[in-house]
Amino acid sequence: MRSLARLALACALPLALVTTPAARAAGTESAIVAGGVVVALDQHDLAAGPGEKITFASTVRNTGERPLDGYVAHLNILSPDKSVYVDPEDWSPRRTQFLDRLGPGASTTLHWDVRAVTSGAILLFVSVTSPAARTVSSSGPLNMTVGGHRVVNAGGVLPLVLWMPAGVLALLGATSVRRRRHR
Amino acid sequence: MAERTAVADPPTLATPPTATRSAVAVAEQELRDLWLSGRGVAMMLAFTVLMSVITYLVASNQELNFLEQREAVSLTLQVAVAVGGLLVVLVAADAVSGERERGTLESLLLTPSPRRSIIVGKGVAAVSLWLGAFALAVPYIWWIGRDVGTFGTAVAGGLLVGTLLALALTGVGLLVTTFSQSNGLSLALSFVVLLALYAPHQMPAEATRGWAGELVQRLDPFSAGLLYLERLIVNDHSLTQDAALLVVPALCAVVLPALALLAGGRLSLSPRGGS
Repeated sequence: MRSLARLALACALPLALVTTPAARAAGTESAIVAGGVVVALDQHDLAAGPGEKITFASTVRNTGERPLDGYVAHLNILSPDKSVYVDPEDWSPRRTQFLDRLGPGASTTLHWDVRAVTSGAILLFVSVTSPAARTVSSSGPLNMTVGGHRVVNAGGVLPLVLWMPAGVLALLGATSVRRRRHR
Repeated sequence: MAERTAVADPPTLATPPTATRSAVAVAEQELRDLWLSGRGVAMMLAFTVLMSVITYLVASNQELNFLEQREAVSLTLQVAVAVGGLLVVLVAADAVSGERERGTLESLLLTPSPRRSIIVGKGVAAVSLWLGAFALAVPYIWWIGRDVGTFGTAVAGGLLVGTLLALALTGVGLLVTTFSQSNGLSLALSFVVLLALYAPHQMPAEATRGWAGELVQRLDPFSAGLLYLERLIVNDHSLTQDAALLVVPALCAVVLPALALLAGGRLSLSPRGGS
């Protein structure tokens, strides 16, 4: 039990050293905090099917002492898997939002609509930057797994592929009979 | 003046039919020739056999079955539109040069129908093949996309794009056939045009990047129309989201039949203008 506690302490110490209090406030350890702007997402893992629409929220908090004016939030969409092609425009047509003035200690919530297009592992995160782009703060990642690579179910294909030509063939026979009768 | 009123009306001669009435009469006759003679139905048989083979492969062949269901719907619909266009070209390219070769154009020109009405009637018959092919493609599209909710948009988009392309190809076929002495030349030329329009869509994805690639995709009515369908079905775009891609197909659907109609006014026994 004591060795377990020692191990936990050994792991926690380096983490405490690299993680800023502001990043901890962002609710996820891997957030990047700059200029007193903290961005946090309301979800961190998500599974969706192809074509499914999902909505998630990001909270932007001003932890600094000066008001934030003219800041811009942007949704980034990419795949860590190089075989998965991602065109962000297909996933979300509205990926940039302009923030209202945010006083010290104040926060605002932004909602993002995304439609899962391609199957595979997808990474989403929100970055917030100042008008002069001197600082960029980013949220932690939202790991999205788009599963259910749906393929056509072959069951019941034979009646369709046989009966359709057979029906047209019968129609052709009928027109041929009609033509002979009219001669 | 009094005398004039007293005179009985002169006996009325058979009034020449109006252009619209003539066009309807020619269209009725052409439709009857196409569908009741069995020619149109035979083409539909070939079309359904092709659609059945593609549907069967999409559903059961391991090489094609890796396709995501939406991609399979898109592929099938694109084949239906392309082959429907081919059928339209076959009939339109035969419209005048075929009559010339069979020696039946003279009797057609001797009817009181205006020459442009003849072209309109033949154009209607050609477009009817696309509508027949599309009606037969609907069950296949429904079956392939039955679980992914794309049926409605696929049918609406397919009908829109296919009709625009069918009208454009009818214009091409009628233009070529009006100026062709032989049916073989007319068919060959029309096919070359069809292939040239279809070729940019078959280029590898890398070739369509950059401003030149994008320009070709937007200026070629076939590529633009098929790209519209792909985005509509695979990327789940709305019907209006990529409407800009339909500008060129819509222009071609208006301009090419209009040109064919203009050329049809000079329709004569010989393509060089001799009557």
